Amino acid sequence: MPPLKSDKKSPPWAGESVERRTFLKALGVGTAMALASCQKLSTQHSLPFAQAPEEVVPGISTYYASTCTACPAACGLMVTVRDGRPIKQEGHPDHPLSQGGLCATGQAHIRELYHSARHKAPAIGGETATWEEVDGAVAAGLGKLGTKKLAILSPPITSPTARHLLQSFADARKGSLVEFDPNPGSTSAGLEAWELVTGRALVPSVQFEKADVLLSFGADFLGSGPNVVVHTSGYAARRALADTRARPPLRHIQVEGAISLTGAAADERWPVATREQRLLSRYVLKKLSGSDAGFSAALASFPPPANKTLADGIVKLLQKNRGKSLVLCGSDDLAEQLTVALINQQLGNLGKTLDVANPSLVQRAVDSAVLDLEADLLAGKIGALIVMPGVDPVRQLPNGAAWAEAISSLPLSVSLSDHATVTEESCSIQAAAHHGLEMWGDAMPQSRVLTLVQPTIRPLFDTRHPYQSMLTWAGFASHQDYLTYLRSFWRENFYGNSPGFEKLWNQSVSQGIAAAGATSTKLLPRLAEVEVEALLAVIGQGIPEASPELEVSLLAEVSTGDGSHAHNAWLRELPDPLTRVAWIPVVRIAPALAQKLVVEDGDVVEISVEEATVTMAVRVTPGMASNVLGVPVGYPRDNGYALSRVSGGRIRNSGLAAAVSKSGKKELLPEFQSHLSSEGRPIVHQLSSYDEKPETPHHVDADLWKTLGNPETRWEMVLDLDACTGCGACAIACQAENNIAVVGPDEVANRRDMHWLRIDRYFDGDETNPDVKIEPILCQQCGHAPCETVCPVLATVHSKDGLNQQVYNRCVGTRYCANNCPYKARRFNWFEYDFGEELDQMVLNPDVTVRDRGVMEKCTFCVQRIQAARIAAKENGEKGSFDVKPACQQSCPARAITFGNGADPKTEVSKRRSNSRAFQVLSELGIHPSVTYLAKVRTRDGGES
Amino acid sequence: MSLAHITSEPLITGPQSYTKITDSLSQPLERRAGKWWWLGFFISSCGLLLGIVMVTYTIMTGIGVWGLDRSVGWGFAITNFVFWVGIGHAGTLISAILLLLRQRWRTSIARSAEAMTIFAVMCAGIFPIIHMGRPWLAYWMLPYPNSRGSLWVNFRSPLLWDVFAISTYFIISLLFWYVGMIPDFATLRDRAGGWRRKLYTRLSFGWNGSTINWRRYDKACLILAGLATPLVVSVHSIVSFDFATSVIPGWHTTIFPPYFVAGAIFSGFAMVATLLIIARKVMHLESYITAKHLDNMAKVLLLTGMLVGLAYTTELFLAWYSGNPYERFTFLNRAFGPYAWAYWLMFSCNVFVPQLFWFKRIRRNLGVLFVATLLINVGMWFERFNIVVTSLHRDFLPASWSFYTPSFVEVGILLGSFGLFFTCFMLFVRFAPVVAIHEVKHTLQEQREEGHHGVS
Repeated sequence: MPPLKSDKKSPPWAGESVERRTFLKALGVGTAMALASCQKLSTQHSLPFAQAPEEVVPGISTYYASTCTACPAACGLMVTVRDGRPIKQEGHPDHPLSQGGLCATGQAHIRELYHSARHKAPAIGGETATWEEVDGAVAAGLGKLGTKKLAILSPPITSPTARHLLQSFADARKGSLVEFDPNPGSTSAGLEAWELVTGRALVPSVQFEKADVLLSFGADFLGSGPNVVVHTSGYAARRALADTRARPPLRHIQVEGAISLTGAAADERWPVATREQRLLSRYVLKKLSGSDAGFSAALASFPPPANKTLADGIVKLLQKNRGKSLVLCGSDDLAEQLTVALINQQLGNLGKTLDVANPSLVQRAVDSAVLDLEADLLAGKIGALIVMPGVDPVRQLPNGAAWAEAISSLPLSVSLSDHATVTEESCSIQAAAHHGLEMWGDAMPQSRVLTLVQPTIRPLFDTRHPYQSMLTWAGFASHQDYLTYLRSFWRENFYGNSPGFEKLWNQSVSQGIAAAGATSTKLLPRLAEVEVEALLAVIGQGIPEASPELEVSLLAEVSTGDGSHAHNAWLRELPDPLTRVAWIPVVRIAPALAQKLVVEDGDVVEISVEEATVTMAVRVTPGMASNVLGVPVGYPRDNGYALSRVSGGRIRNSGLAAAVSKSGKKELLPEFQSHLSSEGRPIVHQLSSYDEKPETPHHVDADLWKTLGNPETRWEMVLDLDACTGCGACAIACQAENNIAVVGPDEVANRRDMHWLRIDRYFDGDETNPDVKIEPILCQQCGHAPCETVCPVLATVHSKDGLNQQVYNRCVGTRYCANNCPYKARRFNWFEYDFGEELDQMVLNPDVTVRDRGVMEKCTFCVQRIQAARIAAKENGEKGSFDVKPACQQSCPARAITFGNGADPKTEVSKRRSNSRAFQVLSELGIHPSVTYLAKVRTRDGGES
Repeated sequence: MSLAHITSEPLITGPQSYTKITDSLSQPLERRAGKWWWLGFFISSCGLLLGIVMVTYTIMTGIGVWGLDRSVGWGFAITNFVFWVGIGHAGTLISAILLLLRQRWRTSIARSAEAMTIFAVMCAGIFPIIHMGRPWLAYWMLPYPNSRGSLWVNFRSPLLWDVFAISTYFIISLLFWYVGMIPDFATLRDRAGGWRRKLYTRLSFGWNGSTINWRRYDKACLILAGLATPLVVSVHSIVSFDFATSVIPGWHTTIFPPYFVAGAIFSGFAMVATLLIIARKVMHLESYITAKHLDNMAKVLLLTGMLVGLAYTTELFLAWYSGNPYERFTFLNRAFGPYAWAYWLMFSCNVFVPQLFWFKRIRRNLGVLFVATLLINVGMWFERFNIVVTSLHRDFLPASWSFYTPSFVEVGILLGSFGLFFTCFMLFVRFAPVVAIHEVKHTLQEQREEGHHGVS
């Protein structure tokens, strides 16, 4: 029967659909044109990671090592390239920091390469232009600067070469290079505090493995802070040490106003507003500094925190763990950050749990720089402004409207971005930038880690490498391209002009990581003298007399972050792990506050800080401090940044006194989950020590059926909830790997999300300070699958190696299987979902069928990877179990997922399955799930560890 | 012993003769249709048209135009399916089981009850097809030899059992209904001229009223009744297996087969009563469908209503007694959760309303009876809604809980199914005798032999 004409319900962002044939034709012509119209670059060679095939074999993937450019953290990347087209980017397993992990944003970044709304050519004043015209206009603008200054505004620069280039450019023109970090979780105050303590504006690297006690004052190091992947990896590794009894359990205490992923993972949480956090930190410092007269005098005026018993408990715990403790801070207040830095110093943590000698180079932006630039800009002292990709000052700065006005009256304003930004609308030149997968580059996220960015595809459009543009405009090296510049920079700075450079370079390109551990400490800022009196003067300030009645805390969500990837549909449809709302910003408030304001989920409120107002729907979120409003910043339309303020030379994004009024409107929330609690059901377990066992319901495993399948192979998975933070990287990895449709906010609100792997979240216990239980749920590949018996047409069947298979082209769509799935892990194609324009569809994985309307789908345990590995094992003549990593496991920064052959007792999965914390969800139904969970441990024994 | 003997109340009233019976039952078909018929036909076919539009829209666009979600995969469609299958039960029960039990009062109502069965099963049969994601592949549910290797259907799936149960039931009911009408079609043939004569000649298969004809006719009816009897029990038992064999709390219960059968008889009788109250008024059949008939039906309703009530309370008791937290929650959620109104509507209509039938005055009051039967049908529809939706919307993992609200398309399809049912019924009353002419004559003869009045 011919397919019926479909009246597609297209998501609002999607365009017209295309036939497959038309798509293929257009793809061929389009690629040919794209290649033909490429800029005239000299031939550049990139080398594949593992082996170099003589030529690309159709249908066989090649893997290229690179570095992620989605944020300054610069995690290692392994890019899968199929037939000349990158189709997946995941973590680089050998990267010394990210260790194979990659966050949701990194995973989703490839979607932006093929985004149909990408910039496809440069423009002057909104009109498409050629690069010659752009270069001419920029040169003319720079030539006419006169007494006015050039300013280059950039996100924190992790690339040493780019830093050198931009700085040289600025210096040559007597201009300034300004770094601005829009992430509210990465504050200027932190850098400045460490500068005061160590003499260098760099944040020490955190060594979770060496800590037994972790106290965090609002530092969301697992959710939104800088370096989440590295931190998640270290944090999970530390927790794993307790599991193997190599170390005592980590005691993690989180003091915060707005509940964060880090708070959700903590053993103990104090939900308190800003003032109380600060009182606590001062109290701890006062107690720890003991008899030191200077500290006592400086801190004398502060009252003790409200809950003094708990505060004393914390002090006792820290005192017991000198040199083995770690105190982190996410505050935007210098005094608070400094207090915490001094607490660490008092505890002797510097050089132990905090690596001062080898600091992180990801946080580089001091607010005063961007605020000085703002002053100059508004005073008319700036003649030219170049905005690098990754910042959007008009949207991200409190005074954004004034920026927009000032920029539009500048003689020369250039925006380099690969997609539309708010700032760009005011700029005279839009110099369309490459996507990160189209360009060369490097990164040094830590002084001992140097990595390379290599292109994995020819530029698709008439865009240009942003640093190539800078190189051209700088004019001092017009004869060379950025790759040459990069190579010579490396040769000089990292390899001391060694004659063997070519070989080392090739090796570095192949590995993605600098060969022979090339690094250079001379690129770090110099150490300055530390003045103790100045410190004491700072910590004596910064605490208001009383807490405001309501205060706003701005936060970057895991999905949309600072908004630089808000045009990415995968990320927009990734629900926030705590609110479980996708697509729209929601203000998080405590249940008690909701009751006080007489609002409920979906009620739209107006939040004002001074004269700024934003409108957002309410999400009642247990665990929020009762007077704190958590406002996300990553949304262009309802811009949370509008509420940030400038005070004391810094941008403030928490503790902002706010007023709330109801708008009377109500919004249907695009939520993945409505219910808050697990209702006390034995479906997710939490233990208080690693020796405990979860209490699973008793059941007799009676069986009337013959055991089917192959006794030698049964694919199984173990999910360690003690490691899992709920960051959602796996969900996006799954979406990218398995061509999962994006359905849009309306369909999410209708509860028809398509994610094969979802992360359930329960708030159990006291709603003012709940236990947050996070549980990723995917198809459990049951041995006795309830879905299989009920399908009338045998569209879901069991494989010999224990997989529950879904046969898309046999499915008639009765949905009986989904009804009978106790985990509700199955997803139905309610409509023919739109995968966007031809360009958007290039991201699809050719190994996985795109499902049609009316069929059921679900997690397959990445059966395409299992098959590929099986074939490879067979070709190599390997006997026994072979290794496969499904997409979710591959990129999990916490390494919470183990996968393998459960029938082989020697595999990792079999070993982990016998952990005492193991439990299976709903196994009392007799369905033999293949997924085992390891319960989360929260140690709360009053600090006796 | 028949009920007529016990109550000594005539089943056919008024002065009657065979000729008069033939005339009064055939004339409605021979006259031009009245304005009431046209009005009814117009409304029904509008409903049918609405249903056709909505089904077409669904098939063209996708099941997404309904209100279902990833947790509630079945909603109105399956509710309607079970509801219509239930309605379709009374026909066979009245024709077959009452025939075997020699309940003579059935003769006046059997024909329309059987017609109702056929139409209700037609309505029911549509839903499992249109609720599929890819209804154009519905034939894959049939075990036919195919060229797809060894691809076969899954005989373990209750949905497949449904396919067999419903189609068997439909075929047997259709044959039973049609065979029963052959003598009457012959009567109509003999009275008619023109195209009507040609039509009834075809339909009556050359019936000539000979003794051999009658003997074979009686045998055929008896055999079909024997075949149909187990189906009355089996069809709804199998429909209940759709739920009972699953693992979902609220579905996974062994009580379902008898509970569903009782419910089906209950709703089927209520529907027959509703229709007959209208038909006897509009078509002037008061002499054939007497208050006695309706009284008997009300008694059946009272009995089955109490059976259904027993099932409801047994379910509640077992949910508590099982000690299964999921099971307990499901029933508490039905009674006190977001769909509590639907539960109590069901409970009131199905358990409390029939209690009125303890009183003869109410059983004989057509107005009250009419309203009560309508309420019972509403209640029985909500019973199925409760089973299908409230079990799914909050099952094992609270993270997946959702709330189902039907879309206008689903409401349109429900109205459309009523449109189809009534359109068929309106055509039936125009083209076939609503009351079995030959059976009534037989009853009249027996009544005469027993010495009742009404002999002219």
